[in-house]
Amino acid sequence: MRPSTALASKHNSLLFVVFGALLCALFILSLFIGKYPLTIEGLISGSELQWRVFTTLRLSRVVVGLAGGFALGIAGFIFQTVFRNPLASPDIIGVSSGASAGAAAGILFFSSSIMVTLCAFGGALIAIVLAIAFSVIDRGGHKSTVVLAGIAVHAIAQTVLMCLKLVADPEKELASIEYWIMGSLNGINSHIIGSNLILCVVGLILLIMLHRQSILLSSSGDEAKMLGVDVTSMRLILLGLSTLVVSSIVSMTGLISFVGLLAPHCAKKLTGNNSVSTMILGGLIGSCILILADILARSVAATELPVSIFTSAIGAPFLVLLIFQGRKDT
Amino acid sequence: MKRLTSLLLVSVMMLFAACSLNPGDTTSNQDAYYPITVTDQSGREVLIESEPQRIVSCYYIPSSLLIALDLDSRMVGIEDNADYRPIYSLSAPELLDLPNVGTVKVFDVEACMATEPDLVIMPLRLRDTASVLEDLGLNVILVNPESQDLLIEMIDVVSRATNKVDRGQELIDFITNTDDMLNSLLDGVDSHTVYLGGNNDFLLTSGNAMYQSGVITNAGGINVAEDIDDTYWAEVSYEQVLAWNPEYIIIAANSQYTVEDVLADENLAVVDAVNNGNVYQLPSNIEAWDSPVPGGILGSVWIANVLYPDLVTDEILENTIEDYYETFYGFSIEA
Amino acid sequence: MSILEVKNLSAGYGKRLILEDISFEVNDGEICGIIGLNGSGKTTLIKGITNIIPHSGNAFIDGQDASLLSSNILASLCGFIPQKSGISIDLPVLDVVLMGFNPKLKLLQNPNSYMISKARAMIKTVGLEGRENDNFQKLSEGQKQLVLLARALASDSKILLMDELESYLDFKVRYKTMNLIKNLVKTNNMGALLSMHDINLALNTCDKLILIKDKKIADTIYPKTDLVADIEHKLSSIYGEVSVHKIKTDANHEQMVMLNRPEE
Repeated sequence: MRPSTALASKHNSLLFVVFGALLCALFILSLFIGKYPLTIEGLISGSELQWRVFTTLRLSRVVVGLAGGFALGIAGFIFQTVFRNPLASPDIIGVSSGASAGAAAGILFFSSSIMVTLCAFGGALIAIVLAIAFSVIDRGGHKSTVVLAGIAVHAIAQTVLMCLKLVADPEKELASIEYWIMGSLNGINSHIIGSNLILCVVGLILLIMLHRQSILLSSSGDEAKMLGVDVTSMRLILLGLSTLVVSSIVSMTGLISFVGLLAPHCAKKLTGNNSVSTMILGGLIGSCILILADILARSVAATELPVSIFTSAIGAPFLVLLIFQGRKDT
Repeated sequence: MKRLTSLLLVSVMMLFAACSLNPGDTTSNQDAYYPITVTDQSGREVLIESEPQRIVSCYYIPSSLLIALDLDSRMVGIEDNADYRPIYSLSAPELLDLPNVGTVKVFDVEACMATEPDLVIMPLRLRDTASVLEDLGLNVILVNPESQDLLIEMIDVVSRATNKVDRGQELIDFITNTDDMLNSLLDGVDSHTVYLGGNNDFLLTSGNAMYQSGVITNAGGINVAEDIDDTYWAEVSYEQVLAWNPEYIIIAANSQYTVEDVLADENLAVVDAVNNGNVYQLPSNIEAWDSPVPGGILGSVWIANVLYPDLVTDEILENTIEDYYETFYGFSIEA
Repeated sequence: MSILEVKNLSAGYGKRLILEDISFEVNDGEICGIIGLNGSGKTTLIKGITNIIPHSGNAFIDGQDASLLSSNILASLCGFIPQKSGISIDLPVLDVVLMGFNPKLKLLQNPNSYMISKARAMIKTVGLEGRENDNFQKLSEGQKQLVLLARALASDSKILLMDELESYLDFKVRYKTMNLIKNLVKTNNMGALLSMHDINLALNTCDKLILIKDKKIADTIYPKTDLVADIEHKLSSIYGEVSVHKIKTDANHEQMVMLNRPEE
């Protein structure tokens, strides 16, 4: 344990206990909420059907909620640190729209779920490369550049998406595309999560291990270079890994907005620093938000609602608050 | 002469229908009949061990078919927004109280599992979900009623899976007989041109590849948009409609605009159909006959009656509709 | 012994050359200042030496060609202090100083306890003892510069490279920081190369000043040994009509000042 965090470690471990407990509670609650009447007694009695529904549907869904929220929280932290901008997140940078345009192309041209995942990742990767390229054009290195670049990337991705929607068959592919853009954990089952989940977990472990590198990149480019960091490749590795974990999740769930922005910010506000424990705390908070939003998405109405309705409902006011706070600082 | 043949045909059909009401043949020979393997419309082979007693349908077309096959009492789950389709309240109002299992876009696997079904009927595009349900131990039949032939194939598959082959055959016979009746009634007729206005917008129409185009041609009409080969509603311009200058304009059953809107549209004022008041909307009070529901052939009869009222008379139309719904759906149409 | 030897260095951005054929040396224990008007290429020179921008010619650091060194070795040889740190996130002072150990760490390695105690010692050296856990963002600009200095010292670097160190420091802190650097350079046998704005600070603290004008080194000043008249002459070539005087402070220390000669 690094002494710098040791002083604050009491405060931090309290935060971990609180959010860890909250996450456990939400996780267990989420396991027993749903249309199918799963009961603890039924599971204990060993009913085969109950267990099948439990593992194929319910557990898979909650695990994806857990991993997805965590991945978005960690990726958001990396984006904010590496782009040196508190507004940077997969949504704002245009990665999410890139992923959706990619997924739409996958739905349209390949229709197999593996290809949709790959296309979503490809789209996200193109988006982030474009965002970096656009922000490099501005040599002044203003902090807002990347957000502007993100807006441009977002616009491009939307145009591509519109073209794809135009050629899509409205009854078949268009419906899948639109449902995908809304985002939901409804379609999750044990058939589709395997490889994506492994990809996501491996990516997350690497990202946590590379935390120190992300902090080095939070200084300006020349400064990081003179600290011995290979800035260009390290940026690409970190952003590529973040993009990978995000698209491994969103290719299954569709877009989930605001968690990537919200979760790391909450963590930073709570700990007041950017240590590795803050990064992990951001992941825990992300998991809590997504599992909670998913519980709401499947319980407030008779039918399933898109999960982004709930993550956005929490996220949008928070974003406005952040913008106003940012204005006060400058 | 033609009128005579048509009457003859209708009476033959009614005879068929009457035979089918013979009680007892619905569940006969159960032990001998099952197990049975059917090949569904995705080409999968589905082994059904015993007669399905708890059936879920998540698509309105097979749902309507299940009513026609007299299986509505065995349904335990239905698609979302079922109250949007009047056929349920007319024929099997108890279906409206069934748990909904989501839509084709958003299928709810858990809600489906919660109904503990032994047979799930879903459209082809839910193929991936079907494999999940199969892993959970359910029998799934994928259907794809995208044309009249595929509709007939769907009726065949579902009726064999549910031991309703006779009833299914009656339904298929009704469709082919009605088709034949229209063909003979309209033999050699001087075809009228028809423009079909889509559900969402008047300027959306169906090209040759769409089911709706067949509804017009079966009715002895010429689809002015037959050169368009889009597989979904194609967008056209006013100028295009003026160039086609259709004699008749038919608008889709669930369209979001009315006949009055079309008649009042100044852009269309010079079109023959509008000048002569030949703008009609397919009825929506029972089923949308411009979609491939089992009774979709009635859409053609209805349009034929509009185009050629002397050949396909009001009486033929009314008799066919009444017969169909009385036979297969057990309710009578009030005029 | 020369810590830094620059030979025929030319550098610029794209096709536009900012510096042409620059050669000079910095010896150990020596503080060398770079003087020139705004835009004359002071910062470019530092970036060229440290291989951050493309350049021709060579820079040898401790006898090794900088352009052939891996970024890690180069980083451990040079302690770089930017004009202003780009760090814009909340970090404790200790973590900022620990960044300096990066050249000695593997990609996934974290600083060990020896490095942490050394970082604390460096923080003490620059006079910020007790501030280890303070948020770097909340420090004054002067304190931030001191933290960056501590970071630059962490990696046992051979030469300190500083880009307009004084521009964010107020008068008193400028001299204090320069004296600190002077002591560190002397005791650790390092060299220091600083681009500077404040001529009076440069004249009184540097061992050697190189004057950059029109892409080249116009002159070199040794403030401790050159005659005042010579210094005045050399500086005039950059700053126009100026006069340089040696004056005695209260404690009988000699100080140099450069004054502008008002136009008649």
